[in-house]
Amino acid sequence: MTDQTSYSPAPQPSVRAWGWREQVRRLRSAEGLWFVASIFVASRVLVLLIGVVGPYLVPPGPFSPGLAATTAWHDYWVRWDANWLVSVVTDGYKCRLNGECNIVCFPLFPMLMRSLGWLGMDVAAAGILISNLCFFSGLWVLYRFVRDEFRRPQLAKLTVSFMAFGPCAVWCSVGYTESLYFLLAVTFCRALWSKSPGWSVVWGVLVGLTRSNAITLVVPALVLAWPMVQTAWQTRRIGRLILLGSAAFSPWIGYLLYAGYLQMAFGNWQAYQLVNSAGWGAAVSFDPALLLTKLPGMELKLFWASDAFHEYTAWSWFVTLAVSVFAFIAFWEARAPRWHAAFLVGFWGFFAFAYQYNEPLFSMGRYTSLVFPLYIAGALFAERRPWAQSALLAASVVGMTLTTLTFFAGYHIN
Amino acid sequence: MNDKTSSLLHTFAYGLLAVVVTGSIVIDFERARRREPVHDRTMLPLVTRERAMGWDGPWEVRARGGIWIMVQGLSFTEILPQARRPWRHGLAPATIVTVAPRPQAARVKYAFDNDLPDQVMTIRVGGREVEKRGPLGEGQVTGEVEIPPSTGELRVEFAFACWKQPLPDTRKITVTFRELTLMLP
Repeated sequence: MTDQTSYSPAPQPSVRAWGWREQVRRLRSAEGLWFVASIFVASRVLVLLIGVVGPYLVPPGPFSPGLAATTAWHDYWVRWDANWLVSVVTDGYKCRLNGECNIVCFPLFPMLMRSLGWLGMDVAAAGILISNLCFFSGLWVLYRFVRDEFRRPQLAKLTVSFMAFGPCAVWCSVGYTESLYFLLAVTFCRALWSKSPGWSVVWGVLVGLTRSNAITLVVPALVLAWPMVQTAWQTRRIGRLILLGSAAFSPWIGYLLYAGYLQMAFGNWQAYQLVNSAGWGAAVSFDPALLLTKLPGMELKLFWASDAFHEYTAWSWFVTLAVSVFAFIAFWEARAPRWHAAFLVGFWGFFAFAYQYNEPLFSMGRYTSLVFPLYIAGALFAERRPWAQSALLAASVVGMTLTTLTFFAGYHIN
Repeated sequence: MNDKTSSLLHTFAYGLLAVVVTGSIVIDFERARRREPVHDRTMLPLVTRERAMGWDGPWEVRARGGIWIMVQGLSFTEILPQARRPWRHGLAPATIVTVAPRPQAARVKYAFDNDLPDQVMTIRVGGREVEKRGPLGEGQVTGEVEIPPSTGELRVEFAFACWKQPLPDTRKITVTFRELTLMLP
């Protein structure tokens, strides 16, 4: 897996063929599609196997629905946040003081679930289907993106392999929003990279309607858009400048659209932040003074946190921090475009904010699993070192196995 | 900067990162190993972040100050970042604490939240009913139970009439214990 021959995309036909036969032919001959499909199927079969067999191998946790032979199939796949998303579809948004509140679920994923529900599909099953379809599509877009950006199909293959077998890839197959976010985030970045700001606006608004942390995508988006902004400024194309600005900030537009809905439905456009603030003890705005008071007290406690749950959280933060530093070095070594590093900067900006919470966010591993530049960094590193290819993949599979086992056995590592 | 210098710098950076990561893990492991648990030897809390000593079938075993205690019908310790203290759900039909033989009397201090208005609690010590409270209504309930000296094991049973099973939770939850502590003299 060390072939580094330069890659040139196939020449495009001068006349666009829009017929479905032509589209199918293109798809069938699409370079790398079958590789991505194989990797996707292999990784999902592994998740499925662990999900079915796992509860028999480890003592079931308190949230385990039981063994596969005695329980409804979707009890395994629709857990925790997935139940909240289902509640948005079935009951709509609700937020009662000291009661159930599901407004932290952003609307796009439930809207897609409801759309399939209208076609007669069970909404929980719809969530799982959407999640898996989006993950496959996301891997395919990521493959093409890396292949075209670095002009090396081998690098793209490594990247999607690391991503599909990533330690937290289980969340991309259950009824969570991770896959949809991943698909839209990578498509958004790709559209900006390929100088299509119009499409970027579309993808950006959609990703902003998917998850709150989409707002961090503005950082890499600004880096990607900057050369186009310079050109537009020099040629005094004001319309183009406005379009580029809208493209870069489109995740915020999506976010604000949801805030507008909250204003209409609940009378407070900051309802989402307030609910989070109440739940996590977080400040609604960034407070550097609070952050500075907390930093000196930061301890790892990898082995001596109060319980396994907190140890898992400590390890998630520690590994994410280590992998991020590793990624910065790998980008530096490979002289990768700066937006990759900017993506990580945006991600850590969000988590610096989250560090104001009473305790570190326990979903760090899940959030990190979607930062696709980390997998690109791993691939850049491994591409130069053949021994690292199998080593990193093996480490990923071990991590994925442990996480998936724990998840399906009913331990709350949400 | 030529490629060779660049490569050396990168190797150094990767190496430094590996050293820092490994060092942090080793130091943290050492701190965990050497950490002296600070315990009040006159109290044996069951609603705590401290790990249990072990399990004997359904019984969770804890020990302190030469005395051991076993409990069943008490779910695992839960904590959320926004909560300052952990909690454990009581499980139907009863939360049973078995205390080792002791020459002196002791007390079990309890505090729990109840959100089932018709809830009735019956406390039995050694099979004898010592207290019955209810309907408890919604809110927090606190109290203490005296445990006489005993030459054998003594069962302290907190039996509850009602339970709930909030989906998708599979547990039959009676009340939410905020405190359940054996107080030794």
